[in-house]
Amino acid sequence: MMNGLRLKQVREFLGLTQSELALKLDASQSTVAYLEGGYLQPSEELLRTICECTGFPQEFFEQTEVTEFPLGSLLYRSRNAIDASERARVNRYGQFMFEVAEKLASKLKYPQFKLPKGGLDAVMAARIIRSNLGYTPDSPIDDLIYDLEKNGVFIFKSPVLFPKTEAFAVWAGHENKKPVIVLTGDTPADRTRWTVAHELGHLDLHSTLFGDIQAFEREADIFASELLLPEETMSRLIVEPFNLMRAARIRSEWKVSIQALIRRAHDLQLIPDSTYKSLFVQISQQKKKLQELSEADTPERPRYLRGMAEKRYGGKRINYQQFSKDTKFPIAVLKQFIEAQASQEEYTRKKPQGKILDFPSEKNYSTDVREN
Amino acid sequence: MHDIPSEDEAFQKLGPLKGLWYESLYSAILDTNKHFKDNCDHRSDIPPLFSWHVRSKFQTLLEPHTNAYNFAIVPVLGGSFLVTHGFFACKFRKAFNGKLPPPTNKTQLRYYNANSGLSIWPTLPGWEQLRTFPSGGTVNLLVYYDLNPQHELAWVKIACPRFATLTEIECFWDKDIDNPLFSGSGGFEVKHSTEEREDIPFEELPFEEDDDNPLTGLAE
Repeated sequence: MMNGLRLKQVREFLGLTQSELALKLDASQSTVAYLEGGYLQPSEELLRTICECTGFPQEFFEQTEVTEFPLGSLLYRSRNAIDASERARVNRYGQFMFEVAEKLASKLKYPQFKLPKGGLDAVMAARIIRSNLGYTPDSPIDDLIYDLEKNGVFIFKSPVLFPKTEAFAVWAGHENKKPVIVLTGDTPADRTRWTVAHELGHLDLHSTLFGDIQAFEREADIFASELLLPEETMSRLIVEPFNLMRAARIRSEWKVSIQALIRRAHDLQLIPDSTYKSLFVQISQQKKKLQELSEADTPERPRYLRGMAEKRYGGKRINYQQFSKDTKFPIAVLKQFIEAQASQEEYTRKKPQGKILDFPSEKNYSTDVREN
Repeated sequence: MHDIPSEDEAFQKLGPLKGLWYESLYSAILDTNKHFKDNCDHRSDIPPLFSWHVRSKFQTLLEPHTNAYNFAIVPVLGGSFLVTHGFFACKFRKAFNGKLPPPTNKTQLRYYNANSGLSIWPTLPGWEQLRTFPSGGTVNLLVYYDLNPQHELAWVKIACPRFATLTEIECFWDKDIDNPLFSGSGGFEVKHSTEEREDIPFEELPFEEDDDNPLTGLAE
């Protein structure tokens, strides 16, 4: 029996409207609507066509239990910034990656979320998180994604990039207790760090969906500023005469964009309006060159999903057949998900030693022995 | 035999020091502008006052970096200073009409002409490592800068003077220092730790098998 909700999720994941899917299936839009609503069950032939067109196996559509995955901070995006179909697609990417991670997590022991949560103002919350991550106010955060993953935050990089939505955060899973950040934008490293810090701010401060959305965004920005550029240290580093080169020097240590640093200096009233304006004029004059400088930095990538898949399915050479069988996701989709995440070498900074030989995995080997 | 490094060789030997000079001059000029704006705006147009202030601030900015960049600041008569690094001696001046400023006294004239006995020798392929210059003494360089109409740093150049009179200067070479912010060699790249670190610690949970042990009585 097909679960109509699954069809809707897959359609949104593929970025199709009901009419577009209907056209592919050689059916009417209302048929698709009825199927999705659960008012109609497809014939065997139609189900086969659905599987062929979407690439998802029949077992996927037959799952009755579906993981809850709220919109989270996607709700804070204004309608002008992102349309409903893109919002749904972004959310489905996050949902499917989380679903795969949840299935893997059920067989693995993984770091539990242990950062203190909310209840304070943005600045205090950021200071507490910073301290819990093991950083003093005078030390820059080396790799925020690494630190958060080690502390049990699920971070995924979407294989498909959505320029209008850089990232979103959500509490998901059983009783919405797992913090998830999904990176969906193609942004330079400094921007990505800022985005992750901003989304962490939403996770930490905004568990309620009701309130002033603009105020939520402002609070998340204040949280990110204090997390990445603590006031205590910035007021020592940023002194007049403050110039673009000095900003670039601080940026290279603190790994944020020059713009973010200048805005922070202004917000903390460490530079006057005139310097603030003059610096932004200089930035606009040197925009291209500064952009190149920013793009020269390698963005941090999460590893959670890939790490779990490698642990569960045979190390660096993942057994995708088994992975697909267990998770009910198509191999192509799983490969897309995994390849968007950081490899072990990239993540641990360890250089690969020698050539990787293609030995059968331990499980396959023991099966063979039993059969013989 | 004395000889002179080519501009590329000299730039390579000066390494990150060039970026430090550029950055310090940039900051010294901004500071000077602020100083004149805060105190006596009209005097910023008086060239000697402006360049004296820049030089003084520039020296202050260089001083903390002598060990890290391996150079020395040598005071000279008239409140000025030289920077020595390896076999280079460097004097800092503000451009005159957008060009290398001519010497204004006998001491400067001697400095400009000190390289006149040296010459550029071609390096034969395969001999690069064996080549040393100069075989004795120092190579005198001139680092000079100019301002744009807004009194901000416009450029910085290094020249290696061959011969000079009070009105005329001839150089072995004369080359711009790239703005270190954009040249990729100024140390403005984001500094990530390169230390190896642990992967996320995932562990397989114990495999839960069906209990088919007859002793437990749960097999049937």
